[in-house]
Amino acid sequence: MQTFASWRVMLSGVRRDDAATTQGDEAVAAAAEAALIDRARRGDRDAFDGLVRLHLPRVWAVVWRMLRQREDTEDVVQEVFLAAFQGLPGYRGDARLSTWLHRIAVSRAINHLQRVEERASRARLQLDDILLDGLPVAAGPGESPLQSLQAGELQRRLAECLEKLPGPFRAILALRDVDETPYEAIAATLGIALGTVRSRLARARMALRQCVSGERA
Amino acid sequence: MSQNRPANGDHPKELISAYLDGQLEAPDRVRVFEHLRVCDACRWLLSDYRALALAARREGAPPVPADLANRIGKRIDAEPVARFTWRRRLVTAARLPLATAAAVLVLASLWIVWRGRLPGERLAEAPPPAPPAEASAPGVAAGGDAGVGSGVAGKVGNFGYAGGRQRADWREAGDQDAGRPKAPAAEAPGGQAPPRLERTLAAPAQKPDQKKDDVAHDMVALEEKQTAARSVRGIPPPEANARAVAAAPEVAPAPAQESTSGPAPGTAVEPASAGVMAVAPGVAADVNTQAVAAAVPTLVFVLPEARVTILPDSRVNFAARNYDCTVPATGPDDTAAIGELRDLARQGQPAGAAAGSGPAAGAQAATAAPPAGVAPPAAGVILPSGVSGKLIIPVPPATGSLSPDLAARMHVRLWALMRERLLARAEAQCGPVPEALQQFR
Repeated sequence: MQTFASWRVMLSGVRRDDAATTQGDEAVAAAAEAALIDRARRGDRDAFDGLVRLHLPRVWAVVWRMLRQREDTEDVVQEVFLAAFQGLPGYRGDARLSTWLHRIAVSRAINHLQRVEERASRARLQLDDILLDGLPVAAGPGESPLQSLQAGELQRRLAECLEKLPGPFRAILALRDVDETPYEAIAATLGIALGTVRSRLARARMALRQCVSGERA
Repeated sequence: MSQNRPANGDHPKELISAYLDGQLEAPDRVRVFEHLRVCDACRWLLSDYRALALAARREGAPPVPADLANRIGKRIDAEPVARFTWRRRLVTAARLPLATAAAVLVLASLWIVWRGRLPGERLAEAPPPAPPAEASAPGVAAGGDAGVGSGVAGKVGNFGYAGGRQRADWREAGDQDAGRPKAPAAEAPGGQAPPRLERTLAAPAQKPDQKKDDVAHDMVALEEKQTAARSVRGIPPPEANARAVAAAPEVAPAPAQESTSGPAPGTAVEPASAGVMAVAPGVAADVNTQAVAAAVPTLVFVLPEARVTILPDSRVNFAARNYDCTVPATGPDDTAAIGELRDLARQGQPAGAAAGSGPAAGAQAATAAPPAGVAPPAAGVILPSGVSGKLIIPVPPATGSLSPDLAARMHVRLWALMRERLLARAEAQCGPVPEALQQFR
């Protein structure tokens, strides 16, 4: 068992006396990125390539969550960075570059979904088929098939069902449940009313739950 | 059975979804809260929503194709972007002086018109002029500036790159306000006042956070009610999600706390902001506000060379050598996970050592508190400070007098919360977490 003295010594090293060092490191990293941005804005392709490699994983993940198709994701990610390169002269640093890229990625992914939605044969569930009033809540008290799933099975079914969901449902779930985007920002991003955000999100969650629990594959 | 189902069978499905996100105003929030108290099915619904959201966050994207960065570079090289961009920069640069000149011209014209309206020069048939100093000049000047300025700003804002202006226009049955004019596009490469999409890590919006806090308070009370109800009916605890979230062993349900922390049936409980639930008029007098306040303790997880502190306002502080970072944890699943951790911590307190009620433990913590306010924990024992509502939890907790089941459940919850959510948030805000905190990964 740890003695009080040893805990005290241990915790004394967990003080915030070196917080300035952390902030300093962060400032150095930010300055390095700012330098890259500045060089890229002047047309330095190597600098922009550095920014691409720095932010590619996050942009990839954002787009993937919405599209869930490898080829489409690759295309849209390329579009995102192309747009970023073209828009870089207008980037004034009001927001972090990662935030700015995230916005572009979300917007581009949504545009892509809109383009392909009508011909998306993989979207087996149609929006009109999913009316909230027609969705059962649960089979009975104390019962929910989803609760009995093991973690691995839940993840597997979730991945399958997210692919089946209509793009708008997938997009709004990604924005809210993964990115925690506020309702107001979702409304602005999708170009829909705040009330629609709420109702669409409810239907998306209900549809996903039905699919994952096996009530509707 | 009958008491667990609403009489009219009407489940507020949409409201429950919004309740999860903390997006309901007080009347609807109370309505959902009351419904959840009596409807098992809707409690499962809410629980399932949480589990799905957590699983969605846990799901990782496939690896980035190795050659994608190179392909991006080649595609950029293939685009005639540089010349185009510079031309647009020049056009934009030329717009600002033009706009300024236009504004000056408008002002000059108005000045001339106003100065020309001298007594005796005004025509008899001319309409009476507006008072020049009070309304006309400032108003026109402001309008002219705003018009020209916003026009320029709009052009500059759209200047970044071509395309990408479309917005999703899905309309489905049941959508509200389908005819509403669309909001501006979220994409604003110029970085000028775009709709905010970024996570509000440093300064989250006040109103949503307040709502989330309210929901957290609601859920604390609700979960206590559920626990009590389950203990009577033999229904597994809400942590049955553990089988989905992580394979944690079941534990016996907590003893019923109906008389101390839950509202009386039919009582509207409105959350307050300071960790104490305000009770609407008419509430039963036996509501123990001290016990309710203790439902939101500060949790301090003490690791060998670091500590993680979950504050009552759901901010989480990571402290280690050369590292000190506080991040908000107000997302719906953050709130749920933290609520479960608090519940587990309460269950893990030694008998008679509830926060604020254990004088011996309180004295021990108060006298032995190191400078940071963290009491030295005995192995496996959760110590309440007795003064500030802190609960000190050694990590790993599976030692000493703490029940192995409880320790395992707490371990799973804490690791999931850290690994899935908060470590990445801390890294985004404060840089890479030190080795002492890497064990959460």
